[in-house]
Amino acid sequence: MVHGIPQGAATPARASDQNARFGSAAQSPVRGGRQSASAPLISVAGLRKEYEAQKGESVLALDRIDFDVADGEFVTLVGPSGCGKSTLLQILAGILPPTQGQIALKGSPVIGPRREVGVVFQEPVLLPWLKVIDNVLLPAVVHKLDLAKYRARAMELLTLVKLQGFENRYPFELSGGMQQRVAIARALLNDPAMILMDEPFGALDAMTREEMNLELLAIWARAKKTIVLITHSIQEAVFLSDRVVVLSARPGRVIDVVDIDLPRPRTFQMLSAPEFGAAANRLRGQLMVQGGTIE
Amino acid sequence: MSEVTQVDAGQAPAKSRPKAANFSFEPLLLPTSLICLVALWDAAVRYLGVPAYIIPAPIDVAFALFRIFSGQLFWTHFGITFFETVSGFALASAMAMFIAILMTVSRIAEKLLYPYVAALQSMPKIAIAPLVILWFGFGLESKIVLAALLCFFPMLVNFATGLRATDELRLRLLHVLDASPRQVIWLVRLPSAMPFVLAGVELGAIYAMLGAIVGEFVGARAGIGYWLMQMNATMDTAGSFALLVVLAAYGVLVQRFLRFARRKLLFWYASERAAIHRSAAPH
Repeated sequence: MVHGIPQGAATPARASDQNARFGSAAQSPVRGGRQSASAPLISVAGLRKEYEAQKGESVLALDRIDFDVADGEFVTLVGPSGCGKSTLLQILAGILPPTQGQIALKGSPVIGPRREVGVVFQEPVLLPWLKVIDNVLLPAVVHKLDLAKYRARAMELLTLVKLQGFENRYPFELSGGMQQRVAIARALLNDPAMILMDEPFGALDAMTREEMNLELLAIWARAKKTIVLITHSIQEAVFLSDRVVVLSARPGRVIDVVDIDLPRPRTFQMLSAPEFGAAANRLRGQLMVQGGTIE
Repeated sequence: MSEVTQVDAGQAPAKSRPKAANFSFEPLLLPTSLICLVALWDAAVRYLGVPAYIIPAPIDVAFALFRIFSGQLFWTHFGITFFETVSGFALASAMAMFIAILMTVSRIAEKLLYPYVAALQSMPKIAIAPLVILWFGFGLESKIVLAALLCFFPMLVNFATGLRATDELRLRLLHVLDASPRQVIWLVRLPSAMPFVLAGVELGAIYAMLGAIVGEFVGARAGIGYWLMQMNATMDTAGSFALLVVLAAYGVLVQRFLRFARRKLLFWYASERAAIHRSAAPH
């Protein structure tokens, strides 16, 4: 079922081929084979971000970013550190305006923060003076929603992230992994169409991280949400995703989009499957190539 | 390093120390030193022959304290000074919070107000006391104004620093949720600033009383400061000492109360600092 995973010499050729295509036809972004039939949930076209540095110089962080994410899909963005991944996520979340290009969510342009988008940061960012349940309810408080109704939903979400019984605890009584699960529940409160995650498990130790990856897949399956996750771990990207979008070093550009055709539900046994290794190698090849020849 | 981490990894707040199995002298330290100090004072006064109007013996101060508390006068004077202190403090803390929020929300307000704040803060406010008496008279008002004036700046500086020190990630979270500026203040900035706010309040409570008493020194008809001046004039040094003991006791009580408030309000803060420590520590 794995298709198109040439290794070694074939990889850079493909990358440059894609770059050429982006250049000529910016309005037809590359899509993963399977999802291209339905209308995308979010589509990013010709995105470019420049930062104003000192002395009027501008730094190009992201350039010619095109990709689509279908409804219900799990897409991972990988790239070397400093490739503008977090900038991209902030643009997708609507809290940072792009210099050029469009993002459309459900067909309408993203020009500010949207309730259909939940965000999970690198750190849990829980408010330490609030109980777990009140942290989960924060979006409802901000949006002035009916708290009685949302309290019930918050309890359901805590059960979903396997934290039932912890609603009246304070964040400092929880481990790092549990805190991040509270943050996931909080991101789900508004029933968003999409969840953006910025290296959500980067601050956790390796063991907890693997556990959380499995947990995240279970949450994804149960909550039936679209997830766009940023990581710099190739293994994490392959293990979690339907599709991996590979970004180059600064300025970040899409250099490859890789379909991961491992069956669901994913298990740790798949880490040793040949398909897993092939996909991981292809990603590794891409990231090495752009490190060596591009820029 | 790892042992420390283990100790505060649980929910143990900063207070708990590893308990020694054997007897500890620590709780006896303060009473013992106090007894020694009073004994030394008594011996010095007795054997050096210091006259009672310069430094009274401890026993005279104790009698003076008894005399003060048994009369009606104490509560009148103390009540007035306390009222001035609390009114001045309330006025100043409300103003300080308002201006601190204004300076946080608006760049222009900050640029406009900060130079004045900095200039006025470094000015010795006590020097204005005679002017304040001139403007507001010998009644309560001038004392309230002085109390407010003295405690306003330390509180403003603390409040403003606290409001500005809010963790960038918390602000980003609220931004993602599309919160209004008012919500950012109430939901995140103010609670985040609480450690600074309480530190400012602690300073303010002390400075407010200082302002009230200085005002009473300069011109008043009643109050602890007025009474102190009276005792000084009549060479009642034991009485002055007794009043100073009362003022010190007030300071200790305020501090005790604020420490209690801190424990109740900032239960989350010690653990947060411990967490920052833990994540910063090399493994």
